[in-house]
Amino acid sequence: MKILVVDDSAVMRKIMIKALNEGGYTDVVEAANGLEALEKSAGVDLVFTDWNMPVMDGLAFVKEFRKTTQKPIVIITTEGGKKEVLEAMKSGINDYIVKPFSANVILSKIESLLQKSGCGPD
Amino acid sequence: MSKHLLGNESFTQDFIEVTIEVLFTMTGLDVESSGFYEIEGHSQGLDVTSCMDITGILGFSGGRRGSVLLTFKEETALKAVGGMLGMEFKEIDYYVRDGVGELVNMIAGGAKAKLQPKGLDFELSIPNTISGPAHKLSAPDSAVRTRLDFTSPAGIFFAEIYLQEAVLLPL
Repeated sequence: MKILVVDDSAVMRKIMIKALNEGGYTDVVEAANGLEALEKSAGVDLVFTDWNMPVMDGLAFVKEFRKTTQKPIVIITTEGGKKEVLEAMKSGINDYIVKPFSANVILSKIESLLQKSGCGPD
Repeated sequence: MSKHLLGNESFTQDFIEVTIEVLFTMTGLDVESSGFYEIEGHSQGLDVTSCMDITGILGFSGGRRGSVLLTFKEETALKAVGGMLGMEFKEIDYYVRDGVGELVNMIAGGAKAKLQPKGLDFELSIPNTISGPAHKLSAPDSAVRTRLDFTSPAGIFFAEIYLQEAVLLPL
């Protein structure tokens, strides 16, 4: 499974990639904003993206990404208010994680998405 | 109405709770609040950053304008960001600056989520970080800021919130 991690914070990308690697997901590509993410999105199976980023933010990236694929997207954001969550869901994301989060939240989201797609364990 | 948003103690408590939660979840530091108080614009002797080494700051816009900052001594910042990544840092570098910016970003976002249902809303900017010994940040003379003091096993640190006065939105 190829996973794309998008966040303008290098620290957050490191935290995400470490959690994914520890969960057995080693095919991970990273991008620092939505524009870079679009350039690196070919062949990815799942996307974790930040919302508030320079150059191209997470919602703009989701809208562009959705023009070509329905692969699952999880938005990771500090914007945990009801209004923001609804806005993100309308943009086409599949799920969301509110910062701060612990590493096991990342892995449980993957399991949940795989089960919804019928690809998870029985 | 209070002269300053954070004159309402429940709002101050929201920022305190979010700061403790963010630091514990992301860095593993067991943080405790050690007090809070308002600072008038000319109280230079109370400039929170003047004896610190690194400060993350994030601006608010939209419904309310203002900012929140989080400021550390070098050794505290190194341990905090080291805790985030499971690494040891010897000096303030790119990752430490980035990590402090991300912490203030999470505190601002968490506070926004708590304040929205109370009729207070604002948009978040991208966080910035300033580092260097005895760096100093200025606020407008009219600004009334609220300083939050914290203790942790990695050392003391401070947050400071400034939100411009505005009429509370109807719930």
